[in-house]
Amino acid sequence: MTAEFAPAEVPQRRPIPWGEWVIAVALLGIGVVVLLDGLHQAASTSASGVGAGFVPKVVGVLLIALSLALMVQVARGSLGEPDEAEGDVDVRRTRWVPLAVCVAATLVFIVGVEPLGYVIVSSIVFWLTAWAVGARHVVHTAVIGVVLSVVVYLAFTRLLDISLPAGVLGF
Amino acid sequence: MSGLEGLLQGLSVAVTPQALLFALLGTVVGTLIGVLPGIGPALTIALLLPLTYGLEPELAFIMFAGIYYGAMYGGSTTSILLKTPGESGSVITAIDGNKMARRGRGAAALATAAIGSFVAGTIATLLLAFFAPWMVGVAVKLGAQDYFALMVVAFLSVSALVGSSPLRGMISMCLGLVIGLVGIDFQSGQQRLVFGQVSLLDGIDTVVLIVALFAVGEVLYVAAHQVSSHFDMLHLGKGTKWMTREDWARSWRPWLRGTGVGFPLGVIPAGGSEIPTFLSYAMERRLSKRKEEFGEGAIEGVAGPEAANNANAAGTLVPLLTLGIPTSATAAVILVAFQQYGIQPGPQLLDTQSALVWGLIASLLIANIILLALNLPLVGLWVKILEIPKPYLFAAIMTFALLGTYAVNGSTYDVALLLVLGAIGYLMRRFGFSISPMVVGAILGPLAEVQLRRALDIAGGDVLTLVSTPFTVVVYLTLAAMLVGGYLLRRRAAREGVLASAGEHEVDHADEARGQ
Repeated sequence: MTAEFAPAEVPQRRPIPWGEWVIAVALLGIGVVVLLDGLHQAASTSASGVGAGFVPKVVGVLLIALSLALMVQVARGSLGEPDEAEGDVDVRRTRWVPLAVCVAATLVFIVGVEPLGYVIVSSIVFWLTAWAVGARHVVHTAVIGVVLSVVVYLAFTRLLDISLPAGVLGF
Repeated sequence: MSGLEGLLQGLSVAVTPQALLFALLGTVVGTLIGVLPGIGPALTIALLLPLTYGLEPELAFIMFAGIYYGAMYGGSTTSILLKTPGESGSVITAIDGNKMARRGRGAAALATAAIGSFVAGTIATLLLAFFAPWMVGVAVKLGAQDYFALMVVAFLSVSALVGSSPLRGMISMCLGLVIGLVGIDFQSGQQRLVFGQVSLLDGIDTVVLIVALFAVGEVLYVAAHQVSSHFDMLHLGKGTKWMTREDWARSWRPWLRGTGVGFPLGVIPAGGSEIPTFLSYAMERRLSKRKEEFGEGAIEGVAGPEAANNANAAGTLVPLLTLGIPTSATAAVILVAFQQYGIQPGPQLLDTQSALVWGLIASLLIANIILLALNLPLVGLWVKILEIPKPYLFAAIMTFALLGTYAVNGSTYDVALLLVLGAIGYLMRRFGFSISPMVVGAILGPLAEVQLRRALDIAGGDVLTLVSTPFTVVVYLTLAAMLVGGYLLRRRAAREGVLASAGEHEVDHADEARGQ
């Protein structure tokens, strides 16, 4: 799949990898929070004096150290290698709309599953996600989503005895 | 109880009409989901966990045995026909397997993978049966500091030996440890990292974590960065040759050697299946008279690593069942499955739950036989599943991820957590942090803390107790040797060129090799 790579950019000036820096700073922040959480734990009354705060302190310090090491690496230009996934991803371009649609699908599920019921919400999730990953047969996708959701609903509630919200459809 | 008695007891549990039905069901569903691109064994098991909530533990674990081996089989199909290894263990298979498929020898590649998996799986499962009771004998003599040492090995080997960057692997593992800290401290009852949120008191549900990182993260990643909404699949073609006599002659030794490499490296926590498959591939290449074929479609390059991968999967069950230590993401998920039933794997497990454990082991043997019977004649059917259009496939993964998460506790809070953790999974893919160390960290972390604090309590807080037994000294020295060895292996692999150091590179490099 080498053909799909864009012509190599002329290596004049490397752009600053903002994403990497944000990640490294966020990791540092998490490390500090974990360390503080460990420091604020009440003193232990156990035989060793080692209590709830011990491991958070260790993990916090470790994470702080590792995030600093990551910053050094990033500053030296050693960046992460994105996951190959299905071999057809290009991380230099981010398609924000499909990404947002996928997130929206999950939000629909969170808000809607109890009032509207599993079947309706699951069909919507299927449709939205399929659209985000490139399905353009609008009706086709909808039919598959509804059939899948109904089959799953019946299989779970009737065969496996796991309850799912019936919602407005009432079955 | 000896291995033989145990196996007989297990067979009496696993060979009932009902149990066989669930074994069949498990293998079919496991293969079905495992064959889907982007879904490895760990995610398959996590997604299918809800299916077993209504079952008796014995039947559930018989089904898991089928799902586990089924998912392993399914993974090799995708890596050969689509060149999309669902997990690190299939990366090497993808190189020569995919080349064979491109030359119209896909059927032979699938067959050598399936039969190799069967041979390796059967031998390794028998080894597991005979090894587990012996291991329990050792395990009961170990103290808390010894367990802690073994867990440290598991942490470091899975994070520093696997993936493209040891540093990023370690960070991923640390994030897992942080996730594991959330909730109420087991000993003092103090709240950690809860921030006043009542729903966080019980900690972060590991099923939600796994599904989020593996499934939601993947869907978001593909939605945001895909360049094509179709898979580039190779077809088997009608009437293609199955394995020829020559293929058999070239395959059987790699199967056995692969088993020999894979099983021991699964038993000792050596960081998942990446290293044994790589070693097997390197060994086959060295032993082969046709070195030039490697990287271009050598059948040994499929037979050996695939056998190593399956033997390794059975090997990881030894520390899991006897010590309660998961050494790979998949093993960690199986541990979670046990915990869902209130069972904590460890040295007592073979005594207290002997029917369950031996039933599981016997079912692995049965699942292997079912899989061979299912896969050789029906491979065309599984391949059809790969023809599901990519958008529907990912939509289905998302739907099942939400379903599985919601079904655990019937709570939308879990689904919100799924979204947050899924976003983290996306970022980790995007910036090259491997997922497995985080899963192992989150699941093994709390267990390691128990052992650590137990050891320190017994010693009155003396940290030196952690290296006070000969066992711990040997373990830490071995760990040091492993890390150095892994580093050297990495460097040599990079020098050899055909195989780059990390899973993600290999596919890339094979491509470059072809392009030249």
